[in-house]
Amino acid sequence: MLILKTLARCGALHGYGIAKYIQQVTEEVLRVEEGSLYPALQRMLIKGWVTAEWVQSHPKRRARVYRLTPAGRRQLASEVSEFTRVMGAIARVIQPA
Amino acid sequence: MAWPVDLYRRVCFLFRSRRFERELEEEIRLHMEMQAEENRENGMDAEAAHYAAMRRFGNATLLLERSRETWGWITLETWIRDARYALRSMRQSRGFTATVLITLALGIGANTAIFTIVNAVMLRPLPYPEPDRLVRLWESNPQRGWLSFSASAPNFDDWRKLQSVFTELAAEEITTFNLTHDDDAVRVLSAGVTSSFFPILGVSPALGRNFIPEEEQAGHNHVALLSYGLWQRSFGADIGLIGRKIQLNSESYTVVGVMAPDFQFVRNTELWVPIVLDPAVRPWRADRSNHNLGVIGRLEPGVSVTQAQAQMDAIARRLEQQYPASNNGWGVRLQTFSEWIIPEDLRRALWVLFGAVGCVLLIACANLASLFLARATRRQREMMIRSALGASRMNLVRQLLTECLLLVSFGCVAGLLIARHGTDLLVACMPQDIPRLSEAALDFRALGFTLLLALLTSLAVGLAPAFQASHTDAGMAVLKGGSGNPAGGSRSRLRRLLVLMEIAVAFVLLIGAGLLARSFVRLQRVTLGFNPENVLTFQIALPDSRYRDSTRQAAFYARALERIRALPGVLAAGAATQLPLTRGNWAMGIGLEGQTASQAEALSVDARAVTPHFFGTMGIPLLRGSDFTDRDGPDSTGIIVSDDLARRAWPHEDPLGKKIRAGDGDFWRTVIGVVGDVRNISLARDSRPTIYFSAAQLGIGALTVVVRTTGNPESQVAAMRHVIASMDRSLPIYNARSMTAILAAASAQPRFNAALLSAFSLVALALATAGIYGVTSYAVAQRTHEIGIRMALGAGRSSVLRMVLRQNLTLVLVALGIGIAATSMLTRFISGMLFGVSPADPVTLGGIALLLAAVVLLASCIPAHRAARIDPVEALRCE
Repeated sequence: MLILKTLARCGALHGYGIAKYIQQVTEEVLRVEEGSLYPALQRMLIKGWVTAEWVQSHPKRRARVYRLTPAGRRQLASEVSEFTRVMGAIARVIQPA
Repeated sequence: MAWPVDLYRRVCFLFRSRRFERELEEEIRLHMEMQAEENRENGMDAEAAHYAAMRRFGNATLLLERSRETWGWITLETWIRDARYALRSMRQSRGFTATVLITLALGIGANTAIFTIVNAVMLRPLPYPEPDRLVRLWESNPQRGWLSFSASAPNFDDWRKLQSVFTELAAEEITTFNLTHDDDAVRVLSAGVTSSFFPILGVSPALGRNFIPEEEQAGHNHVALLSYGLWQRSFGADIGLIGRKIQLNSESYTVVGVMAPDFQFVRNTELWVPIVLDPAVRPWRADRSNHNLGVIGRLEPGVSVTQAQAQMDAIARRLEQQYPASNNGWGVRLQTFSEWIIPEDLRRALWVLFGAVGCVLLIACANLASLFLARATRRQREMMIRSALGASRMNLVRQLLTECLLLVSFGCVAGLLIARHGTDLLVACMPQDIPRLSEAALDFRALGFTLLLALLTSLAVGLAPAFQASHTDAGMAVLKGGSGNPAGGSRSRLRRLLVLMEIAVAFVLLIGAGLLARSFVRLQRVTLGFNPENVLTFQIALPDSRYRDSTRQAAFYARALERIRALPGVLAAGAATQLPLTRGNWAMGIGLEGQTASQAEALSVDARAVTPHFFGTMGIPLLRGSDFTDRDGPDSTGIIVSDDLARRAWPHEDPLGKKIRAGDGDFWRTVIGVVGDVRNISLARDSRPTIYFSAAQLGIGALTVVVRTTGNPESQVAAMRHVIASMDRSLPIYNARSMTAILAAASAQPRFNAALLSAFSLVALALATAGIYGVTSYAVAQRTHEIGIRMALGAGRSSVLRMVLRQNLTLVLVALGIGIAATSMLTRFISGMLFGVSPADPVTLGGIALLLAAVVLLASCIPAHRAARIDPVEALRCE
C-alpha cells in the first residue's frame, strides 16, 4: 500500500527512489526492506497495478521506473479505505473509555 | 476477471525470463550503487560504503530468486533447471551414467520380458467364455499311481448317461490325416470330436456350422471342420470351400465349417472330424480297458468342482462293481482347465524364474544405490556450497531425486527395448510345448509393470542417498577440507549392509542354479534302455481307404522296411506305434492265466505294437525267446513282454509260454519273448511294465518307422521319402527327426530352467562382486590417512592386507550364514524341479559357499593390494 501511495504521489520512481521516499517521509520509522521491495514490485507488475519502463537517467546508466496504472489507483483507493476502517476500529478499542 | 490477464502476463514472463533476470540484476545493481553513493555522501569511505550497501540488500541471489518466485512458475522452472543440471552432470561422469543405464536396462528389461511370458502363459484368462466352469475329466488309478489317464469309450458313454452335474460332456481323440490337395500330400494334425465339443468350449465356427449328433455315426461322419490357418494355407481362404469335398486319407470329406483365427485348444489341431464311438464300426471301442479319449465338460451353473467330483466318484464306483474285470481300481479325476493347461510344475518353474529375475534386479538396485551413495558423498562440497547460498534441504533432495528419476527413466526406455527383443528371444529358446507361449507380447499389463518397477527402483536407489547427502551437519567438516567421513560412518555402514544383502541373494540364486544343473546332468545320465545314436525316425499313416485290411497294411510295412534296409548306409529298420519319450500313451489292463477270480486284478501296462526288427534297430536287448517275424499275421497269438512285467507277473518262473489276456474278452496270447525295460514316458520316470503286440497281428496303419544309419541319420530323410513315394505316391512321410532330437526335446524343459537360472545367478554374482569391489575400494580410500599412520608406525604391508581382507571375510561369512538360512527356507519351491538331487545337497551347498567366498576375497584383493602399497608419506601429506 505504501509503495502504491508513494507512486501516486511522486508519479514515476525507480526502486531506490521508492525506498528512500518512504524512509524519509516516515522519518526513519518505517523502512522498506530491499529484500521485500522488489518481490512486491513484481507482484504488482503481475497484477497490473504498476507498469515499468527503462529510462536513461544518466549518460552511462539507465534506471527502471515504475508508474501507477488506473487499476493501481483503484487498488490504492480500496486499500486505503480498508486501512482507515481498521484504524478506526482499533482506535475505538484503545480510546480511553 | 483479473486472472486471465494475470495468466497471460505470467506466460509472457516465461518466454522472457532471461531478459527479466538481466534487467532485475541491473536494477538491483543500480539500487546498490545509489545506496553506496548516499553512504559516501554521509561520510563513509568508498569501500565501507559499498559493503554497507550490500549488507542492506542482504542476499542478492536469494532476492533474485524470490522475485522470480512471484511469477509463479517456480516449480516448473525448478524441475527444468534440475533436469538440465542432471543431464549435464550425466554427460560429465560418463562411466557412472553408462554403468547405471546398462544395469537398469538389463534389470528392468529382463524382468519385463519374464513377466510378459508369465502373463501370457499363466495370468491371462483362457480364451473361452467362463473358463473356470470348464473341467477336464481323467480316468485315474491311484493304487498304481496313475492320475491322468485317458478314458475308454464305454466308460465315457456311461459317464454321459449317468451324470447330472455337467451341462454336457465331450470326447476328443487325437489323430492325423493325410490331406491330398492339388497333387500335394500333407499331414494334418487332427482330432475326432463329439458334436458337443465346441459348444462346451463356447466357441462356434467362424464360417459354416458345427457337427450335428447324427454325424457321429458311421456313414454320416465324413464331414470336417478346418482351422483358420489350414483354410488360409492350403485353400487360399476360399469361401466357396464350405460344402465342397476334400480328400482325407484318400476319402472324400465335406467341409462344413472353418474355425475362427484365434481359436486354440491346447495343441495346434488343424482339422476336426466327428468321432464315431459305435463299437460295431470300430471294435476296439468296445474295450473298456482301451483308454484313448480325452474328455471335457462344462459344469452346470451353481455346481462346484467338489460336488461334481463327488458325483463322478460315485459313478466310477458303480462302474467298478458292474465291470470288475476292467474297471477295478479305476476312478475319475476332475481337473479345472487352468490346472490342466498350465501344469503345476510349469507354474512353479515360471514363478521360480520370475523370483530369480526379481532377485537380480534387487541386487542391481542395491549396487546402484551404493553407487549413488558414493557419488553423493563426493558431491558433499557442492551440496554445502549450495546450502550456504540459500538452497533448502528440499531443494537438494529434489536435485538428487531428479537426477535419479531421469537416469531411471532412460534406463526404463532402454529396458523396454530389451524387453521386447528379450521376449522374442526367450520364446524362441523355451521348450515349444508350453501352452500359449506363442502369444507372448508386450501388452498393457507388462507396460504398467515396467513403469511400476521403474518407480520403485528409482525410489529404492535414490531416496536413501538423497536424504543422506543433504545432511548438513556432517558437511562442516567437508568445507574445512579433507575427505570428510570417517570410515565407520553411517553411510559406509549402509553400503556394507547393501553388499551383504547382495552376497546373500547371489548365494541363494547360485544354489538354485547349481541344484538345477546337477539335476539336469543326472537326467542326462539315466539308463534309457535303448540306444538313441544314429537313429532316424519318421511317421507314416496308411489311409483306411486303400489299406483297409490288416494283411495289406502288414504287407506294406514289411516291403517298405525291406527296401529301406537295402539302402546304403542303413544298418537296421523297424517300426512301432509309438517311440519312447514321445507324447501320448496307450495303456491297457491285462489278465494273467491261472489267476483265480479273487486274484483277478487287472494289471495295467503300457502297450505298443511293433514290427519285426524294431527292438534290434532301437538297441533294446532281447533277453529271452524270440522277436516277431514276418510270418506273423492276424491269426498269430504271440506277444512280447518287458523284463519288468515278466518279473512281476511270474516272479520265479520262465515267462516264455505263459498266457496273457489283453483287455476284455477271452483272447489269450502267448509270451514268445522278453525284452529289456525302456523309459517310455519321460526321462524322470522309471520304466513301466510294457507289452508288445505284433503290428501285423493287430492291423495298425499308422506307425513310426525307425532306421539305424551309419552316419548322420538326418541325411537319409530324402532317401526314405523316395522309397515310400515309390511305393505309394500319395503317401507323405512326416515328423522326420533323429532319436537324439527327440531325446533333446524330452529334456528341453529342465535344460532351459537350469540354463536360465544359471545365467541369472551368474549375473547376480557379477553384480555382487562389483559391489564388493566398489565398497572395498571406497573403504580403502577413506582410510588412506589411517593406513598411512599405521604404516608409519611400523605395520608391514601384509598386515594391512590382512586387515582389509579380514573385514571382508567377516562380511562374507555373515552373508553366507544368511544365505544358507534363506536357502533352507526357499528350496522347497525348487524341490519339484529336481531329479536325483535333494534340496539340501551338501556338495552343492559347500561348493557354492566356497566359490562365493573365493570370488569375494579375490574381488577385495585388488583394493587391499592397493592399500598395502600406500606410501605412508603420501597418505599423511595429502588430505
